[in-house]
Amino acid sequence: MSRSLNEVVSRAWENHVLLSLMLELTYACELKCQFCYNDRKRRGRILTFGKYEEILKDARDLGCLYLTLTGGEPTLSKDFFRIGALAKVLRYAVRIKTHGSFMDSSLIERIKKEVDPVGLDVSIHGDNAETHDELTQIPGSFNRLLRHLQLFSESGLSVTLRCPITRLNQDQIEGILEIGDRHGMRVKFSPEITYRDDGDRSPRNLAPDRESVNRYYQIMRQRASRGIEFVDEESTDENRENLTTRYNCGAGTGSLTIDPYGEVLPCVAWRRGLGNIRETSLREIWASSLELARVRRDNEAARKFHVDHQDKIGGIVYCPGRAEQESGSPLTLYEDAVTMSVAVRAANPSEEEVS
Amino acid sequence: MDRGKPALHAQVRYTTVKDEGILIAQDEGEVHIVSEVAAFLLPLLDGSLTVESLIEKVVDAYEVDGGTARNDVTAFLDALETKNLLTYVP
Repeated sequence: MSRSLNEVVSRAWENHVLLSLMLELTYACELKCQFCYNDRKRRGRILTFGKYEEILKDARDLGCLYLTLTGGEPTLSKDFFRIGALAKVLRYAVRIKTHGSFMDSSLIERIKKEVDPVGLDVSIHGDNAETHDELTQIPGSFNRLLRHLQLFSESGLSVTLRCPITRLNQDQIEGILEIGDRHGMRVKFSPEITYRDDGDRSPRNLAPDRESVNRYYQIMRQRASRGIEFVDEESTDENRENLTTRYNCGAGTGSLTIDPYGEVLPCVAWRRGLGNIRETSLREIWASSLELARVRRDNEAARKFHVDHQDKIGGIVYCPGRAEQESGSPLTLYEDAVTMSVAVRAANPSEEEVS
Repeated sequence: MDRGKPALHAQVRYTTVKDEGILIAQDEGEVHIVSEVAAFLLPLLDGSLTVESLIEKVVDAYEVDGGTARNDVTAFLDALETKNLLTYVP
């Protein structure tokens, strides 16, 4: 992120400008990824297109530029194209997070023409069919994905491959990077496997071991990123040391997430309910939700907590959402934070300050 | 010479944060930070207003003289056109 963009993002958080919004359009998905954090048993009334229209217009009035459409698999939402097309008209910078395994050329063409996203994030879970398909629990999903990567390359869409690192693929980082290089695509990994949103801890059994997390940071240190800077919780996390703000992160200060049933959350990883869009407009929640005011206070406290504990969690971005999910408090030394901090400091021995 | 009404190309994305704007040129993969006046102008570049109307709006909003407003507006429009982010419609 450029210096000027850092300054603008910092100002957005400080002044509570809603710069970035994530919409979880549906929890439906053709894959059954073992580590998926979605609570797929949850049921409710999916928001109507009319509600999404209100959300997108309200968010735009609040200054929102960056819109992420995710799921589940967002293209399975019956309103995916209407929402995407409206976002295009409203001049959002749209990113779509998809598993990409069930896209044909006509769907890719429609996305390009009707949504015109700034980028697509496509999931990959291994450098071979055995690993990828074991994690997705859908035989054939890897080979389908590879065929579609070729289509994505030809479409001219900007694609980033996304890979959560698990015990099953932790030795395949270089192989996955090679697949990205072959298709001219960036690859981004996440060394964090979280609990499921219903509190189920079983996905954590797939978390990578410490040695692999160390190795991952060493490998990635050698690689530079490229492409349009999309401002979201992840990019600001990666760039946190260059932001000048009292807040730990953008959760509730410059960004929000809305689930398929209208529940408004500070962040995809910090799932504290701030109100439901069916009862209260986004504008009202952003301006006067008491819970959001508490989140902002906790967010500020998280920054201080992080600074105060840099001997244990320096060099990473502290996630109050994960801390709260694991302990009930947004100010906790959760296990992954400590593991990642050790790995980051081992890979960057001279960088000891809090990021 | 009347060149028509300025309109941003479809690939342009933008927003305003306090006294600055973020402008994204998707096709070029570029992000620009623009001034307060430029950020004020961006939502107005939809092909419905003439350059003269835009200058009047800047004069009204920022209480600057017409000459200054004209210079600011034309410089910004020229910069956008040079980057192929703007066209003029009848």
